[in-house]
Amino acid sequence: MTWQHHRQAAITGVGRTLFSKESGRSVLDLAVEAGLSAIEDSGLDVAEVDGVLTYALNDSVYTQAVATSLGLPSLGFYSNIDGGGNICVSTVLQAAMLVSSGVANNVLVYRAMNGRSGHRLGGTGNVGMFRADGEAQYTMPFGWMSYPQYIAMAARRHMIKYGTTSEDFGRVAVIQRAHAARNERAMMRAPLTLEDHQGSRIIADPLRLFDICLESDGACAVVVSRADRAKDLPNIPVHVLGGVLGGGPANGYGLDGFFMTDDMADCYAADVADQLWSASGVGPRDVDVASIYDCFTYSVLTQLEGFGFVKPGEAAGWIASGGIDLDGDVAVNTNGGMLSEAYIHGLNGVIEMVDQLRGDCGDRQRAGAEVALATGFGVTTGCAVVLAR
Amino acid sequence: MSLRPIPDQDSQQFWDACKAHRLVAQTCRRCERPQFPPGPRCRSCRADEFTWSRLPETATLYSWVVIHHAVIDEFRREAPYVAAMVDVVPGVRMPTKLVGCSDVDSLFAGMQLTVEFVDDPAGFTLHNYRPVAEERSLAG
Repeated sequence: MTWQHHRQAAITGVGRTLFSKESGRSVLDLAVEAGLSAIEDSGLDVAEVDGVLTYALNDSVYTQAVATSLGLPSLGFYSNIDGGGNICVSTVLQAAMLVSSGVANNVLVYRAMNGRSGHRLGGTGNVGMFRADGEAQYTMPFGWMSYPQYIAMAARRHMIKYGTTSEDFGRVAVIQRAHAARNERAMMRAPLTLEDHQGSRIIADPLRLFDICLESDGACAVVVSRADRAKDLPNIPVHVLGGVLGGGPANGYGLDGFFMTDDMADCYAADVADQLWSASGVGPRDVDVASIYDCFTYSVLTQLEGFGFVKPGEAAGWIASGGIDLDGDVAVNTNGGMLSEAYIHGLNGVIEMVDQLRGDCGDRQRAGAEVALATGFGVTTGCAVVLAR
Repeated sequence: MSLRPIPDQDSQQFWDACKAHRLVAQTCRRCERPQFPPGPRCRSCRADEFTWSRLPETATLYSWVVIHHAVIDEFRREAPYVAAMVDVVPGVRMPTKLVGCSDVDSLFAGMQLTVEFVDDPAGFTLHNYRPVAEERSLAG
């Protein structure tokens, strides 16, 4: 699915809760706080919100509950989307499609979770979630059953195909931690060196502890409005230029299966890049800041290659020479990403892109940021939106 | 003990064959392409009639993960262990577990492997793979 937006929709408000390991609050409470915060930031009256979207992996609250809690007088459209990294930022694309088609005027998009203190995505402490049926009947019986274990298989292929090393993965973690040190919201701000990364324990070889994102409690929300309404609101409108949600062939029989893909080293980005740039009317050279979905360090390398920032196999060298630093060719995951800020399933990255385009990022501001990319990763399928002020 | 695979109508014959220590692939009657995992239709030509063809015992290593941090007790006792993807024939690449590889640093893509069925006391059979010993590969 590809869609060209022509600046008909814009992100008008953003909101988030505190990010923590134990919120001590209900997921609904978190969702409502982030939602209200985003609506207040937009300058809209709560009653003007007539659409609500979310995505989850059996770990969140339904949009109806959020709409009810916010006291929305009417609900024009709602959808609870089953998915995680693979579909995350596509919710912004879908909200933009809703407002530009006239189905809704102002759409609230949220992701809320007690991802550390409640339902842990990796399944630690939740034996009952492992059921070897569907696609998992071919993987889980062999003990291959959590996201770090799955993605390590693809990371290994990247190493085999391109000569990528564990140090190459580690540099992503180190750079993002340096960004997080400038972000007061980040859960991990202590300096991280490449030696620290190499000394961290092996979880699923080739992935070490610091190759793997955090687990977090918290919520993020954005409001997407029609562009003609956005121009009368207090914030600088962050327009949606275009977006994509898709992949190549053989995406598996599961929600996010990937073992049927022909070449496991490269990801969905290579399959959808042409669609994305053609829909958006810009190219990778035009992008100033990017939120590249970083469930794992490896994911950042393969997406940067797939979207054409560099050629396949060249991300490691580019990153080592400063390519994704704050003042590099493109500033990547300036909030610290999910490796260091928090794991709110990609939506915290969208908010960081909005803050960058508004110029609100303080001493981690990318000078003159005008065009941003936010992506979501699911190996064979994924999503991306291009945003611009 | 392992985690029991839960077959469905599309996969029952695959798991039944494993129990009889035969590795099979769902193979299209029309275009004769094998596919894994089995599905309701041939993914190449969309035909819905299949045979179950016997696969060779050998395979080559495509990728692998040395799992140090297992997430459930059944596998915690075993860690570290090696999950792998192996190429059996064109069109058939399978997740599996590698056994008999004490030195994980010696694993490499393309390494020759042979299937080894393991009967679980709970009444199912899994298809693990084992590196082919040097002398055996020389002997052909």
